[in-house]
Amino acid sequence: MSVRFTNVVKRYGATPAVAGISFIVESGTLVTLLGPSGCGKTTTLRMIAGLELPSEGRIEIAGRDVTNLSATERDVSMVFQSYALFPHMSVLENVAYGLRRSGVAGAEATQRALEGLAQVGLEGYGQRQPSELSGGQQQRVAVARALVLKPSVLLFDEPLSNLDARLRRQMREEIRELQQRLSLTVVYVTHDQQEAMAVSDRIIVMNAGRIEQEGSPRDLYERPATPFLARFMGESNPAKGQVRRLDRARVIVRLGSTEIEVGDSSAKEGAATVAVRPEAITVEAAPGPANALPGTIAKASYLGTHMEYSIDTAAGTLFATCPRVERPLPVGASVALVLAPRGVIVVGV
Amino acid sequence: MAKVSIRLSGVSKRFDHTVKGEVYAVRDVTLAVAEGELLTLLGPSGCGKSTTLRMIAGFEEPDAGTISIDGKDVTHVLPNRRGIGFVFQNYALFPHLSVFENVAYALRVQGKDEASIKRDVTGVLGLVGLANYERQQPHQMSGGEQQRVALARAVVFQPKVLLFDEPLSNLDAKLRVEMREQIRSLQKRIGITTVYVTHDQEEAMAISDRIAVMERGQIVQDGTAPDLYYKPKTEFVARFIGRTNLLDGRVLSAGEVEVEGQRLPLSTGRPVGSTVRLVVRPEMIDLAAANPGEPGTGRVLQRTFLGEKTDYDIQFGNTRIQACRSDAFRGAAFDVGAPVRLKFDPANIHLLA
Amino acid sequence: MNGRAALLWSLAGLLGAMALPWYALQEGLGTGAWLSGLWSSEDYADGVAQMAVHGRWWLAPVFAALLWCLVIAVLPLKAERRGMLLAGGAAAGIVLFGLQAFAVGLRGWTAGWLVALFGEMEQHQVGIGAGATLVLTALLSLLAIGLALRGAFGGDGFVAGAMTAVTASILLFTAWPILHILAQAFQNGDGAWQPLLAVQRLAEAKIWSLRCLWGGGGCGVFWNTLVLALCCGIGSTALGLAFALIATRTDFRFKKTLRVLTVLPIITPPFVIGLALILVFGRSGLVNQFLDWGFGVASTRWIYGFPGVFLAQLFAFTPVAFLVLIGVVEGVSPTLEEASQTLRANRWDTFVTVSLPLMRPGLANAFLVGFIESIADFGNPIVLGGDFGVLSTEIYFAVVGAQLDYGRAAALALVLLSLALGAFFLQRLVVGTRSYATISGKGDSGLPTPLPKAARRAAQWVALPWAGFTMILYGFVFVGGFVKIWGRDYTPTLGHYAKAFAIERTPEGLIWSGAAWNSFWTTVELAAIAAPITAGLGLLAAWLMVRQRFAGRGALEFATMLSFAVPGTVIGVAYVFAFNVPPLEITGTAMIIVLCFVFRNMTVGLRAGMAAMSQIDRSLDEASATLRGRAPQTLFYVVMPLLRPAIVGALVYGFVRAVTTVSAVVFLVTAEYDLATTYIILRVINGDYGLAIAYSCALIVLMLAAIVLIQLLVGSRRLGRRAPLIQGVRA
Repeated sequence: MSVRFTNVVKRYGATPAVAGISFIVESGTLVTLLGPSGCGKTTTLRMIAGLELPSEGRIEIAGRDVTNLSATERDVSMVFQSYALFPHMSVLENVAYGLRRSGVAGAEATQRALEGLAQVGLEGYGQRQPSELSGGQQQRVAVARALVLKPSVLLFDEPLSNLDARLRRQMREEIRELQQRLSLTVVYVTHDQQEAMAVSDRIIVMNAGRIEQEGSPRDLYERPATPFLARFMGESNPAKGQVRRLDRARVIVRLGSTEIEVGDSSAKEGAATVAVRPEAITVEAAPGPANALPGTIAKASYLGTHMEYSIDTAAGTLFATCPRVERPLPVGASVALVLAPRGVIVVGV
Repeated sequence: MAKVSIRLSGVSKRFDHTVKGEVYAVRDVTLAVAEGELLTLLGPSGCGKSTTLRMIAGFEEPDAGTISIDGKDVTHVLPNRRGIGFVFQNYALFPHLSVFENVAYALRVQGKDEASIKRDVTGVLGLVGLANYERQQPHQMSGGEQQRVALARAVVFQPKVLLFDEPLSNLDAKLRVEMREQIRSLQKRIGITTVYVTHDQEEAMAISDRIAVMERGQIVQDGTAPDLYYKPKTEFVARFIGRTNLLDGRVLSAGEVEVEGQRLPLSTGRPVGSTVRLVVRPEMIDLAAANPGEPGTGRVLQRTFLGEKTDYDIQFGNTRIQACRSDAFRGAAFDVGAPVRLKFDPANIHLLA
Repeated sequence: MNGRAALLWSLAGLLGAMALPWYALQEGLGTGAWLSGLWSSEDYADGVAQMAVHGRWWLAPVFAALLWCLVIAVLPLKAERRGMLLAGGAAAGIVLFGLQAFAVGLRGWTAGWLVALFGEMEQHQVGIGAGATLVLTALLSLLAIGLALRGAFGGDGFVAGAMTAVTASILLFTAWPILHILAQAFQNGDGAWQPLLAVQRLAEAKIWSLRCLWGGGGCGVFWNTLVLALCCGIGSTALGLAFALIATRTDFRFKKTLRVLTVLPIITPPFVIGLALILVFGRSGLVNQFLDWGFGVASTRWIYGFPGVFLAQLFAFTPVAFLVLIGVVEGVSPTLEEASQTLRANRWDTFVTVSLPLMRPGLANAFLVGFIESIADFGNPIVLGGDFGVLSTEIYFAVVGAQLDYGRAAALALVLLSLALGAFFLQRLVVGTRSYATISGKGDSGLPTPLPKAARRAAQWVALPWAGFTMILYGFVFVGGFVKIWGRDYTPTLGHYAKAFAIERTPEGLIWSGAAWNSFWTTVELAAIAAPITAGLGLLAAWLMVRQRFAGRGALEFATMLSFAVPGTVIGVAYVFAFNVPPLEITGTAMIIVLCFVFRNMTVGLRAGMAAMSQIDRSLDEASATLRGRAPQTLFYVVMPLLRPAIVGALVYGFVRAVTTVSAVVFLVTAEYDLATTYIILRVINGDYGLAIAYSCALIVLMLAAIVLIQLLVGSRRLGRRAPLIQGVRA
């Protein structure tokens, strides 16, 4: 049960919203389409659903060519951003809807709908109207409604954007847990990179209608292929540096007056854009150890779990996080930055 | 003590009709905002934070209590006479006016002359980084840009107070972080008293001088971000701000508490044998490799890589503990199923009242 | 600010009392003859003079109240106290004004018990004039200011004033006449109260008989009206739905033509369709002639009676249902239909289980509109009814015919009103204010689903022949004006147009010698005066209803909806009675016609305004408020510009309805103020079809011109929104 896109293009008039993409979603995995607004991720999702048909290319689901099939004929279910619960039906009727349309007999459909509700923790809510439920509950009904059809692929279109920040975390964990427990094939769309990393087996980052990079969350975070990706996945602290090769695996990256030895890198020699992950920077009081990068604190913010500092250095202004919050460093203090080699990333490799 | 700019005393407001058994949208809220301070009203949907903000603005009238701005009682004064600037969640830019005209609106209504209007509008547009956008129409601009126009519009006429109603909810995650920085630096630069409403606690902690947490119409705790984070007064606040672990401990003696088999040096001031509730933040738990069966060890249930940190879900005795490490580049990660030793630092444990 | 306004209005009131004639003048104020007689002449005297010199002592309390307000406006008082005293004084003044206005009439005391109480009185008074009007307006404004000072309406004087103005107008020009006429049902010819008479009148067989069910004659007019209205409601809703679906959910190529066709009947005087049907199906109509000529079948009069009226009403009222249902069909969230499809429902299932149920409240609304339009319709039943009588025609005959039985007319009006209100409440009960239309928010960006094949075929098979039929009918109407005598002599001629619209050139200049010019110009003039007032009042009321929160809002909303439910015949009769005697004597003037236009059609501007205003997010009003904008500034700089399409619509509708109204004005026209519609109807009743048709065509052209003109002058605003496209879907 997988999804395969081959050279799919979608045009509206002359402009391509999706400009030729190919990818595979393996069965039983959760793949996220991630990207900023307008990158084409929602259009791609709608093409998997069959709500839009591609202008060019091929789409296969579970080995079957579905390129020209409408949504009704595909074995795909979708959870919409606005949940799209039918306001004129009860919760139970909503969940049973797809079953009834598929020809399942009345009593059996009701029974399976009740089981579906229990599965998402909404037993006893069957007779309520959607308008009486909270946002989180409505979303669970939408999930139950989609799941009860046992689809080959389950799609989520930015399901958490209408929820409180608090609820978002809880719901994303529930979705992930459900997916893993039932080994569902899920394609998930979001613009929130943290959300994507928390739930996905693989992430496909899209930009301007094309795929920028795909891989596991760790791959994308530690080895971003372009400056855009370095910026998009977490904080990137872009800095200008120089690369000098030591041997086949190791290179020396020079930032300002500091030199860091980075192993396992295939960077080319010469000038390079270097991304320094904030959590790889340890902020110590000046003068610090020998190979530390000197700097001055420009800004300090407290975020509960950690401090965030903006530090001016010879390599540019770097943004660092520091778990030690009991004695925050004041603005203007002189500091020395120790860089962990694994967090120094030469971009585009 | 700094001068008080906004003061709410015993403010209450009823719902139009009972909502899920609740009669009051806002109940008996008393609050003081100092001059130049940024206070955030934080809480989940339906807690009354927006209603409170709207009462400060004058869009809704309280059923009881008084509201004063700069010492003047404004409880029953119309919004247009309170001297406030308001930034809406959906920007509320006038769609038929250009950016320049939107920002100039308040000045025109006051009857200012063309020259000073032009000067003030260009000035404030420059402050928010939209210097050449004067002739654009709102619908041609992105969400972030529209929000900046709304901000410019709200401050150009130098109001006494600035109010924000969840201004960043409609923006992408990344943009939210950028915009909140801009809002905070603008607010500090002008030094204007600000009340900010949001449900996102990270946002609240990043920009506020003080935070008032609301639940079901009442303020449950009010203080600086570290106050709320390290000394939450109730379980609700502990759970709402950041992530937390709530552990039950048993008082063994005046200076010792037993938690899941571990003895911790912690003075509680509670009678021996009583149960206490402890708040431990995920990043305060030290994790180390362990051998299975050792006391004080747990088993890793789930590991989530989040880029700058890694979350761990650990089965510890009868409780599930959340721990978090932000040194992914330095220490080795723990695999799922591996035994891991948890160390609690008594200095970082907070006792719930 | 409010204190100063109070002073100004008090002075204005005094001006009205001392510098203008108190009573109405036959010749109006224009001649200026009254200036010299302000003190001495009894006809021209101002209020104070009337009281002091001419013995009209009952005016004294009113002036006392006015003086009180002046004093309160000037004294240094706290706002709340000033407000209370002002409001109290003004309210007292208004009450006293009303009392004296109704108590003293053309022949002294107006009621027997007053004579008994005070003894006979020699003095009398006629209808109020400029002075009295100014004083009343001032008192109303002072009341509003007083209430605002006390804190009502958020302390906003403008809102208070608007509220007072709207309420006062509705009370004076809608509530009062209707109550007055309903009271007539309980009175005998001399005006004495006889409640039992009402029972007698109401229980007539002519109203309630069910003879038609077992053969032998017609049924009572009540049953006729009811059955006709039910059929019309159902039929127009079904047709309107078919058109709406085609216009929004298919790729039909001639959508624009369809829209024009459906809207055409709205700008046509209602009886024109009836006329056209006569031309085609009537005794001398084409079909009958053809059957006679081709098959020797004798002409029948089948068109006269229920079939003809029903057909005519379908033509006339389907467009209204269409306009209502377009909004409903477009209001169904596309995302819900998409969700349905991802749940394995094909297009037909989606349509039946999701789309239609979501449209239910809207369908009920459209039905109600069709129902009420049908029972209020006068033009079609009078032309095509034959022996099939309905309540509105029965009322007409009671007043105009030989019977001259006002009491009976009033009783019939009571029945008609009850029917309308009953339908209104029933619909409220069943549907309530529930609406499934979504106002798109985050994430509602789906595309509307095309119709399932079966539904599309059904809609097309129903709607397109109907559209074709409409085109043919209008074609005949157009042609009919150019033939000599329909049915007998088909030689083309311009004679009818000549007779109606002849213009002669004489040494003195142009003379409008055509028979139709008098009524034509009167119609244009009065409609042009009424349209802006209708639109303005309706939109102001809509703004109050949607944007402001105040006590009594519900009651005001109900009262305005009531005006919509009252049939035109009833209003017409009510106006004749109520305004025939003091205090407001305007029967036979142009003003009463204009007022009738305005208050008859205000509800349309109101509904359009409310719909348009609810589309404008409230936060825009709030933003303006925080930017120091007061209520009038918000209204003019933020709300109105965004409402331009609605303003255009309200103006167009106001003008069009004014020109095409028949039922209400049929009682109000005079030799001096004749209207096009009544003129045409008389021509039809006399059998002069040629002239009637020619004139009707001219009216249609007039209305098209007006629409274009209004569109050009007021125009619409593009706000840069994309229209949703219906994507071609393979498979």
